[in-house]
Amino acid sequence: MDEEEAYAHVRNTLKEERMMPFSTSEMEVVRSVGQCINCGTCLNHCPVTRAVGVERFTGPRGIAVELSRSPPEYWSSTDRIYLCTGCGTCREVCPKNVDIPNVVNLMRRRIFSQRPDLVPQSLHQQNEILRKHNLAFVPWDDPDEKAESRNMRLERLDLPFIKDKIRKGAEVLFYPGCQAEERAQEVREAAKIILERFNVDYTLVEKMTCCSLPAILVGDMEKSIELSTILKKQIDDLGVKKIVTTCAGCTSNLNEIAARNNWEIPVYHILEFLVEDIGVHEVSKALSPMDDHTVRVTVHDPCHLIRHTSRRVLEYAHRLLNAIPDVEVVESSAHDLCCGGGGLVGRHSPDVSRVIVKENIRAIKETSAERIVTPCPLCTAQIEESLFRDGSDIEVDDLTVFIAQSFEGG
Amino acid sequence: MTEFDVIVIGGGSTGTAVARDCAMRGLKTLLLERDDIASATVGTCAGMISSGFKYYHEPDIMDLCSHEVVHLKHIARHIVAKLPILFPLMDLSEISSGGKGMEEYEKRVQERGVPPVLILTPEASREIEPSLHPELIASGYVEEFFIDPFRLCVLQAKDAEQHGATIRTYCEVTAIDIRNGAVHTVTYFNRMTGTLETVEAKVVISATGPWASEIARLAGISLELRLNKGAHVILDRRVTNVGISTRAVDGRWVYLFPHENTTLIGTTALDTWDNPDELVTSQDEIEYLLRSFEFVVPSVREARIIRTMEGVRPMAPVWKVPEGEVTRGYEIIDHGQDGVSGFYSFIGGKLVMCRHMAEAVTDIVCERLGVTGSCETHIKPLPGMSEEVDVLMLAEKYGVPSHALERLKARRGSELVEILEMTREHPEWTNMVCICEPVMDAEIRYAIRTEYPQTLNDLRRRVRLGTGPCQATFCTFKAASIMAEELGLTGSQTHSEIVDYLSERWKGKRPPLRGAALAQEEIVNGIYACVGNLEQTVIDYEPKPWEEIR
Amino acid sequence: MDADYDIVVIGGGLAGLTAGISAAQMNANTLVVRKGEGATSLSSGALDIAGYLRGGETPFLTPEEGVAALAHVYPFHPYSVLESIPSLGLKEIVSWLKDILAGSPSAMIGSHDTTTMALTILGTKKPTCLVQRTMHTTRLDNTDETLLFAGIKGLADFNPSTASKALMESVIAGETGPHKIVHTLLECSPFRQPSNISPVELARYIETEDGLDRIIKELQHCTEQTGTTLIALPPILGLVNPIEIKKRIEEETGTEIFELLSFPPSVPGYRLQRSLEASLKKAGGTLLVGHEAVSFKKQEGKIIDITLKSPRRTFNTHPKSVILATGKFVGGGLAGNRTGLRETVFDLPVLDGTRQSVQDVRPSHLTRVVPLHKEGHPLFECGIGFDTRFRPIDVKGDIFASNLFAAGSVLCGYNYPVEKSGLGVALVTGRICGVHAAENVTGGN
Repeated sequence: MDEEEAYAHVRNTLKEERMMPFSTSEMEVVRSVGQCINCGTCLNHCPVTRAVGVERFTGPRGIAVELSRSPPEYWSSTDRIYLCTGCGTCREVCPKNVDIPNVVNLMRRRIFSQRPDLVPQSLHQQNEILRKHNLAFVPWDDPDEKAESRNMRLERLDLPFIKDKIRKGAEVLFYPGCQAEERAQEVREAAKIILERFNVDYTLVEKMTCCSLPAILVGDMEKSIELSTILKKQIDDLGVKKIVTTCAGCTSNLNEIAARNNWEIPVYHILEFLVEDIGVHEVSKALSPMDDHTVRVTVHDPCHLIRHTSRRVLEYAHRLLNAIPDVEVVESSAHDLCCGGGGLVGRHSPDVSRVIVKENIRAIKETSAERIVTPCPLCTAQIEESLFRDGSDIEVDDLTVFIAQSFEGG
Repeated sequence: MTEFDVIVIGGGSTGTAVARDCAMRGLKTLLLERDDIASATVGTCAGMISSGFKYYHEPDIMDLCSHEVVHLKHIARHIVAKLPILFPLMDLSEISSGGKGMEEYEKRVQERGVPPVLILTPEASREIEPSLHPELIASGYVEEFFIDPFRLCVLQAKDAEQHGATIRTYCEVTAIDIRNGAVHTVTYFNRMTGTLETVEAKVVISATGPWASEIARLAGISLELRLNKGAHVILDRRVTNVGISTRAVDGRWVYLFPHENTTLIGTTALDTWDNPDELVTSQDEIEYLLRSFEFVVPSVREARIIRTMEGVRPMAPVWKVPEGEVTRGYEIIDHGQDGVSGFYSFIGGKLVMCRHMAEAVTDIVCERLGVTGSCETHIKPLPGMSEEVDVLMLAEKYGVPSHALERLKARRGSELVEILEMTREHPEWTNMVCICEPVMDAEIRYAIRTEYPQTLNDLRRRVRLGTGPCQATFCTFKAASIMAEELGLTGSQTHSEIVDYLSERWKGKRPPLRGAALAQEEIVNGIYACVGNLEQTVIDYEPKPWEEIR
Repeated sequence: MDADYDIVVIGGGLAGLTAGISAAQMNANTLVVRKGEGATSLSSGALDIAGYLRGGETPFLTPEEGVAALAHVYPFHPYSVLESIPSLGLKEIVSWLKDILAGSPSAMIGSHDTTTMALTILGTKKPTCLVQRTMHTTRLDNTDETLLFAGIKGLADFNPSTASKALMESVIAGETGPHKIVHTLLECSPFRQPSNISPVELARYIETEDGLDRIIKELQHCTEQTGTTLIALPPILGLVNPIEIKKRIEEETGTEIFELLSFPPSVPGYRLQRSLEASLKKAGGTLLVGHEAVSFKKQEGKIIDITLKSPRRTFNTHPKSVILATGKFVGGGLAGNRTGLRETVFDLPVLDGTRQSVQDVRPSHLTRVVPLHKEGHPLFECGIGFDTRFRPIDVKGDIFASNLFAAGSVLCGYNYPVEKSGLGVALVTGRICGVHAAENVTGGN
């Protein structure tokens, strides 16, 4: 047998024995699990376990245990691995900071590449959209209809429309993310209003493409690399020096990719940009009372900002909200609890996603706030839908939109 | 006084195999084990049923090993797994050293259904095993088979019982009486009842591994062995994809095998004259193994060490050669030559040969007792081996996570259905008592009811309780209560059982204590000392042999 | 972007939070930063102060006596510092904590002058000082009570049969206790599943009307049959309003109920952690979780800069005082490899209980041959050395930095698993450090 035949034989044996070699970087993730002391703190805090019980979702600790044996029982974990919302609560409370969100991504990746039959159909469907359109959503067929939807949203919010800018050599790239591009267009528009207001030298991308997070959550490594490569090319072509986004998921994912691939271009959420680059003082000069009475607002903290980026981002949110005249911020007891919108759980097991968000809804209603704001269009959608189903009249706004609305003469 | 045709002393792989063979051939058989089934030597091996690759200078042994692998696969497929093994080569000189061995090895691969030794490029090697040293120049590749040594012994004992044998654990032989130049009675101390019991026997077979000299002495016979200590370091989880074998710092062969949810690195080889019950792994042994693997797996020290384990090789008394050159064959000593007929002792041997050793001695016994009938131990399967088990279907039917059932299947084969049936009446017995493995309440009860464990440590051998990363931190108190319910233990007995098991685990956790294990140990002390107050509560604790000498 | 705080406390367990609350109460702008939860949230939720001398078999009559004894026998014990600070006595500190936690889910009962022998889920008793109100009973010594150990079917963490046998045996052996002890398993499943129920799931379920009704009905049924007067439950009486739940069950069953001390994952530990965090906020301090202290700058004998890192962001603070409360091995304040132990933030020298360096001592050499020993493993006495103001000392024995203080189990000199002094030392040292650090800021000292 020559070396090539020998290798073919070995690969075949590995396949027969259901062994999937871990790569070096995967092995690092596996090793992080080696710090687990089985204490169960993660079980006390995991929002999915809280919603459906340990029996259905063995929780982060269970996932850590199951990862430890790749051959061959590994595959039997698929009934749980797609219930993880990727919120990162476990990693944050873990005395050893075991990186379970990454473990989940790793397992999804391995299942996708070796046993695609075990990946839930809804995730395959999601991936089809990604593959076909390079976007997380099926784009509008008719650009006029898209514009009409946008205009309706802006009109309802009493926000002006500003034409898109695409300029090579701009300082800042404003990257809205798929949700704000195709669905919550008001977020995209609000960000433009804000950037214009502070005379930021910004540009949009020529052709909007996904940041790759959904592909990672599906487990399609190839597609995720392709998407981040496409985006990087656009960024290079534009020659920007920093990226600003309005989406929590894009913030954490692009930060992760930028760090891994040495982009050397910082990626910020717009809240960070406002506080760190513009300054709260400067921003507050532009703000005015938005109603004729004090508006009671409560905030939902997106996991991708607080747990995957930094909790300080939400401190910034509070500083900005406090700067708006006649806004009173009331804290929800579940302000930093995952809303169940992440990890594509909503696609695969909407029932689970809906039970998770119940606690958020209960706590939001308890605050007696009239509005809930959150700096993430995905959380906004999840909470809005749930409040609507609940029959509540609490208004839901993306925080970017809320800020744009409170601009003087806004 | 009860009379037996055969009394087998020792409940390891050989003893249980002998009991099984004797019972299957219709002999009235008693097995006496001073501790638990598989509690000593066999419990400290890696479970490899070796093709005998290392012993190419003994072609007969290689033949024997290879045939036995085929037999074990035939009778116990449910507890046998295949493992690919790489031999990374760092330097051209290493290639030439394999010549004769490769040739002998390749003669026998076909019957086991594995390839000859393959040579892989550095790229292919690192593709399969990225943790290998980036500067390797090639690697050899073989496939070997592994068996769960605990399950093998228990299944052999259970099967022997089903064929009429009597199995007595915690019965330590204290005297062998001789009448007219032949064995007559065996007296043993029953540690469970605290009584001495005597039984008559036509034949006595000592399958006591390193204790063979001691047992022979009871019959007034001097039997020399060469005892050689071998230690393993056990790492948390599978830190490599496949097995790796390499030359150690002193040129011996050592290995690193992913095993269940751990990785084993072994072994050392130290001639020993100490009491085998008192041995613990030394710092030098730990370093020897880690340092040896650093040459080919530079990251080996980054992995969490969960414990060490040590055993003693009962080798033939061949002296003035390194351990590796002592024959791996076994010998049946007929003590008729020492004036005690009907008394036989084993020396030497390897795990893979246990069935063959049993067949050979049973042939001798049958001839002596005038019993006809041929050996069937290589034909009839062991309990639990039947048609494929549909895990997903059963998971659905009994409401148990499929992951837990996969693990149950790996230990139990088709026996798992009996365990699941127990949960119909008691659905709460689907509780996961040990998270690391995981182990279900019902499996613990099933083991207690059918597999004669008397302690939590015995349960470990049955169900792998407490063998994962947390090393029994969280399962001990839960399992102790189940044991108390099943065996009717008092409260203080239950507490003692907890401390006993913690002691047994601590024996292996203590020598390599470092890194993540420090936090784990703080939790153990937090639970059992700080909150449980057991260091104050358990007053009748008896130190273990390895604790007494320090 | 940098942030300015007067005081940065590294570590958010009982020691760190106590320090943070104390400092914030003195109007210092205080940040408590935490990378993960630690030993406090894993604890039984009872607050031990001093139970035994190492190797001793008789519990101290009072925590106060224990503190004095430990300080006397072990001159390097953190409690020995108390003598030099008359303004912050044990009594003051204990009542301060009780005030802090009053009205919270983990409101505490007990006092510095009474040792409480608390019952555990194993049926053993251990000496402690403060227990959460839900864990409190005075009737355990009454011989005419009928005590029911009530477990939950499907909750593997507590086996009422073992606990009742163990307690009964101790009563037979002559200890004071109820002469009638019974046990049962209640059917009370949060998600209708038969097994694998976690304590925290039950705690949340009992906070629903459905769950509370269920457990009351089950207990009523059982108490009627057995004539139970006192009920021992695993700690599952809720996370937010356990005291009301306890009251409600007691009214409905006509009994007294209390929670047993238990192991992780712990509901009372969860409550205690959250209650302390709420107190910090109330006192005006800031809690920043998900951040780790990764580096520092020292100038002219002072820490002038601490760098904090989250998964994707890093920033600097320039505190006037720093409190190190990173815990031991679980918390991550200490780490060890085969050659020795080290402190993880400032690389301070690690000492054993007699103040010998263990920088180059193999961890296994700091343990005993048996896993549980009345003298304890010296390993758990290891930590950083400190002066009478709890300022860490360096290799030469000098103060490492004039504005750095340390509290809790990162300190050397006490063996909490056997002394039963864990949260007590955390409390005392945390409180003292918080006050000192705040005084340092205001220039009071």
